[in-house]
Amino acid sequence: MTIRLRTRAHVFWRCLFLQAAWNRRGMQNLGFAYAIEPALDALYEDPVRREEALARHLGFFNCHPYMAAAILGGAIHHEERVAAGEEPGAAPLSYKATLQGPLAAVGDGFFWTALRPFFGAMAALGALVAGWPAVVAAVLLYNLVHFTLRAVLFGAGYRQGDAVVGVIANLALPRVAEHLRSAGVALCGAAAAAVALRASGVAPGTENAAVLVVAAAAGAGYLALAKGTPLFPAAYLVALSGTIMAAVTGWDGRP
Amino acid sequence: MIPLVRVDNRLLHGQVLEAWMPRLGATTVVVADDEAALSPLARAAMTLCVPCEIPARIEKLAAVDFAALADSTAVVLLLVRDVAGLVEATTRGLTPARAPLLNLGNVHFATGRRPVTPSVYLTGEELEALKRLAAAGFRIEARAVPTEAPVGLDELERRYAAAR
Repeated sequence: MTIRLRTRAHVFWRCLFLQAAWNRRGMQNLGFAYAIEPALDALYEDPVRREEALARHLGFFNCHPYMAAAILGGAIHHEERVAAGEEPGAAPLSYKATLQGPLAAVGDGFFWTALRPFFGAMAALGALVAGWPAVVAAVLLYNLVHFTLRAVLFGAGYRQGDAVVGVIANLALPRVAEHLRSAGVALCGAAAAAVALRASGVAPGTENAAVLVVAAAAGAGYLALAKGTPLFPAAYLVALSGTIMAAVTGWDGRP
Repeated sequence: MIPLVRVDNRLLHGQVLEAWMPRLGATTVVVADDEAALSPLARAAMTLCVPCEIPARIEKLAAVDFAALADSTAVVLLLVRDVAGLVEATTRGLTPARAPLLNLGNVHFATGRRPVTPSVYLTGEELEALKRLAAAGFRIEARAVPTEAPVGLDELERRYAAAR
């Protein structure tokens, strides 16, 4: 039997809370079991089989929270076959165990190290140019992309089961990520230049000095990162220096 | 050379690809695991997540030629699923001279396991096996990502004894 769209939507809604009960022993296990529960309720009328199904989804699970939507969809795909007697109860578990690591790696690489920094940089530059509404717009855009991908992954997992891997391969996320990273870096550079030029505008006659400082900071930053300085301390140091510079040059932060 | 052999229940995932591979400057990743090698789904998924410039090999443990990996100019990160896989690898040619450092990354909780780090839960038998590997000359550490401080075997033993 197949479960109704309404039930699948319910599961999708619950998968947004995948990490709400994150714990060291099972990591996202409780979140996963909670999310898939409406589907299991629909598939198993016998309370004993229903309990058994829910219990098997309480085992260890950890993945990228967005990519996990594909696995959740695929787990329902397999549970439908288990309920129909076509597959053993271990089938959804082996599906989860096999895909959680590789999809986590894809998700970390695409969402955490490319898409989110890109929209963060866009928000920073937008705030300098257009003020706070740009930050709201960047958050909305980010989530539009994120929710669309989550829904696509969930649907592909449910309909295609194991073939979801091919669907994800066709999205070419690592290649898109490369472009997003380059674009994000360019946006960061533009934001830094905007800060310095604004500061120089407040104190007349400092435009040339500002351009030099921006160039020196960009050069020093590149060298430091190329020599293996950790990214986060370097980024915080740069942000702190920028704030101090803005204070010294008398920029009050208003666009 | 094999600068690191890692025990990870999830085999290839973000911590390995985003943190360890760049830190080690690894040019090849070898997954030595029978279950993964025999599963078309696992092979497809792992191929998907590894950047195309880094060759990923997924082989049955018995098929891995540790001597050739150690002698090659490639910088190899070797992954096994559990401590048992590590022990089996040492019976099939993995020696301290070929791979001096064994890393416990993620060993998930199960009944009877005790926590020794936030991501590693060991059984008594596994701890004994690790002590034998250390006696054989391997260096053993536990940490999930390279930015954490490594926890040595003595400390793991102490934590195991203190855990309930």
